Amino acid sequence: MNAIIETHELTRRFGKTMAVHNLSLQVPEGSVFAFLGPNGAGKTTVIKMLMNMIRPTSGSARMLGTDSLRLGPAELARIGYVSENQQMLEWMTVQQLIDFCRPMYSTWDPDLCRQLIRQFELPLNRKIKTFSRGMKVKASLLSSLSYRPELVILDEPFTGLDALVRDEFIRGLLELSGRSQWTILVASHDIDEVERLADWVGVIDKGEKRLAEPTASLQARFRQCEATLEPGRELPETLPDSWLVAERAGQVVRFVESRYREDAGDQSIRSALPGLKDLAVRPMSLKAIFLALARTYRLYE
Amino acid sequence: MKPTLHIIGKDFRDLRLLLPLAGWWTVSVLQPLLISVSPRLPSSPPAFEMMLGVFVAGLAWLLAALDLGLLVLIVSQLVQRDSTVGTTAFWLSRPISGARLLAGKSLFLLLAVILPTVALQFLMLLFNGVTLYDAVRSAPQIVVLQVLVLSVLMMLACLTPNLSRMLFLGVIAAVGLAIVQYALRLSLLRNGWDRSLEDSAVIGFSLLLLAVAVAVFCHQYLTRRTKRNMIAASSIFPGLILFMTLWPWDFWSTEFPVARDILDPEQVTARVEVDSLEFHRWTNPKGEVWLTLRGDLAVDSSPAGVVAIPAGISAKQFLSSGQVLARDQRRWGHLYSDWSPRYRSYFGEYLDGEQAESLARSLGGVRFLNRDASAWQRPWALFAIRREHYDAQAGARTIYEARVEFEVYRNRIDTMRPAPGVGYDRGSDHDRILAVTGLFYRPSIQGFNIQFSESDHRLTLDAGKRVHYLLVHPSRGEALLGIRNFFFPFTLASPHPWSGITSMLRVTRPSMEFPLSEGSPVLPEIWLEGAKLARVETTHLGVFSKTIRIEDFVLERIPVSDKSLE
Repeated sequence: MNAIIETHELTRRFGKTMAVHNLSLQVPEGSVFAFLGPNGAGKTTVIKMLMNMIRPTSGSARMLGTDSLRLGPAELARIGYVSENQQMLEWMTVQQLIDFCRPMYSTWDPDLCRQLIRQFELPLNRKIKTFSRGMKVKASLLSSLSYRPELVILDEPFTGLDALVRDEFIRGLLELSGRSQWTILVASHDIDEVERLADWVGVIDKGEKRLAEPTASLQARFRQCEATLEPGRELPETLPDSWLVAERAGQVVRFVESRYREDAGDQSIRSALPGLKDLAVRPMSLKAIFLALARTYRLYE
Repeated sequence: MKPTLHIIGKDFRDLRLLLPLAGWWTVSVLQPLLISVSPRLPSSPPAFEMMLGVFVAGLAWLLAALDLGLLVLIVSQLVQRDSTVGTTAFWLSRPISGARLLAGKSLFLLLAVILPTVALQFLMLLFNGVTLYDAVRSAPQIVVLQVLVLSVLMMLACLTPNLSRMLFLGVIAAVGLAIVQYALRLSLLRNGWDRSLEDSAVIGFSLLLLAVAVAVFCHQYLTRRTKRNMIAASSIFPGLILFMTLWPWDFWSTEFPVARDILDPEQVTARVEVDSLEFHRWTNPKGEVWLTLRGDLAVDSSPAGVVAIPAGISAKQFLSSGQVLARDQRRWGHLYSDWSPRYRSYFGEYLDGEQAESLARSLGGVRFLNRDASAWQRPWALFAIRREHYDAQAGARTIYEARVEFEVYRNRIDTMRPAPGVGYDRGSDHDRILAVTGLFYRPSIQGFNIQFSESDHRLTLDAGKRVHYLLVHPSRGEALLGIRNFFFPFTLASPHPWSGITSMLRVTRPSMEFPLSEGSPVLPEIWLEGAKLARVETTHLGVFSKTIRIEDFVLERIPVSDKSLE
């Protein structure tokens, strides 16, 4: 796997607070990587360390093969960054923003720029400060995608956007990334926002990595199971570690199997549950997996 | 270069930056305009002159305050719109390096602030009669001053995210440094520290401050390590204050030795007039009785055209065995002994009595009708001892020895007719009489008043000159010393006095009074017709010291007076 972003035991401390702890992560080239975690999990801190906006307390990160502490204009010209916290040059009109950004990028694509303007329905001669939140995000995307960056980093890009705009944007981004082989890192606290987008998922909580793997592999090993026990049968004292959020209602046990293997079928479940009368195993959506993990790690305590 | 110009181009399109810049340009034009026009306005009645003085001085201060205020706003907008503090600035995620951004911002300030300042000041100097040579010599000082102000503002702006924080940091830093300096000086003074190298120290401090400010903002742009730079700056500045207070190098000394071709200390003799010695008894606030020995000092064989005035003394009384009984050290605070090129007093300068006497001789032995219009130190305080010491040593045969420091001056006297329109022009200095009137405190004339328009150009190192005026009536052998009137004149300078740097150009509209002493006979109106106005420019030439000695110094032989002169 050729990693376009790589972190090694990345750690950042703010006073006594450990914001990110020993985070080792790889984002493969050409992937759409959903970087998930609840608010305050450390996603933005990680991204700011990647972008050399803040320095790590320890550990290291590489972006596009360069140490993040040495990111310079040459690397930044290949990265598109959009963040809910980023200040825009709001005193400019969209046209002025384009005129300001264009000379900085040798790869600036006027056709793509025009296409994005059309797609986002951005008025060229209105000052950005008069825009709604959604329009400002669109202007920011316009200035960050028109030069066909190799790596796009989106930090909570959908905050404040209504569902329609969000869908429109996701559709556009999928289309563009598919066509241009971009790597996209999109950080979000809401799985709904990125479910359709991601082919890789990373979950971070309290500054620590919980998982990072391809969506397909994740969806292959997670199953929603519902087992019905024979009357009079009790659950065993200990359940397998791979069963998450197990609940019992009468003779029915519901749980999430996190190490399901298609080739082995439900054999492992049946062997762990003596007196099993009936078993239903269903594939899970990314959102359902994320929620199961969240409940397991008490993400939303 | 192209990306840098691109950044400058962006800043020149920002209206929130252009508006304060336009305001600052307006103020920058108004300041030299005020300096150039107001002193040349025709003379008017005293009440109007007073109002004009207040108005012009007030306007000059207002413009100077606006100048600084708008510069703060410009630098804040310029720097903080592309902030180096925090992680949200637009440029941080763009292919713009900190060095490139810094170059863009610095070039913007060079083009929008520094170059216009130099151009305007240059034009103003030429308009006010400063020679091209002097105007060119002034350019580095204009640039350094402007760069110093901008560097400090840049440093404050790049360490803070917005204007209010920048102002807060500036005020905290200024107050903190003032407290540190005050505490340090107080503590040093209590421990007997007595050095006055302020002029050299202020220049040295300004240049070090410039270097530190530049280092801090460059480092901030290149590393964006705000906390570290803030800590570095706040730990360096107390060090700078300490350095300034203990500044060792008196490169701008007012106490430089006089050149031997002007006065050779070996060729002159100094002595104390023994017959003039007298003890003056006085009591200090603690109730202790002291006796101060006073007497006249004389310098013999000094070259013609040169005046030597005692400025300080370090004396001791000792026995022939060498045992020292008492020591005393003092400086005489007359006008020229504390010469400071930076802090020239514009108002109420009294001529020293010794200078006045020397001038009277130079002008053919004229008699001053208002001798009390000069400041007298004589008889000089040569030594002070406690009453107990006097009682214990009253009859002892001792030796008095003192090292006396003398300041050396040369006077250049130019005379002109005291009439409106008459003037003096030499090099970059220009004086013009606006009006001559009588002083009518009573129905009869009690003296004269002459209103001038003056402009002079001085750079730091040749600022040691002062100008006085005398009205001289050669045929009657009489003269009147002039006193600058406190209320009427206004003085404008560029740069403004609170810039802390010697003004290059000073324009003023002084009203000189030539009053008669109380009880002097009334002058006839015709007196003025035979009079000349003498412009006396005094140049400080340096210092030298001589030792004076009184053998057989017996305290009880010297008369004691209770007339206190302390």
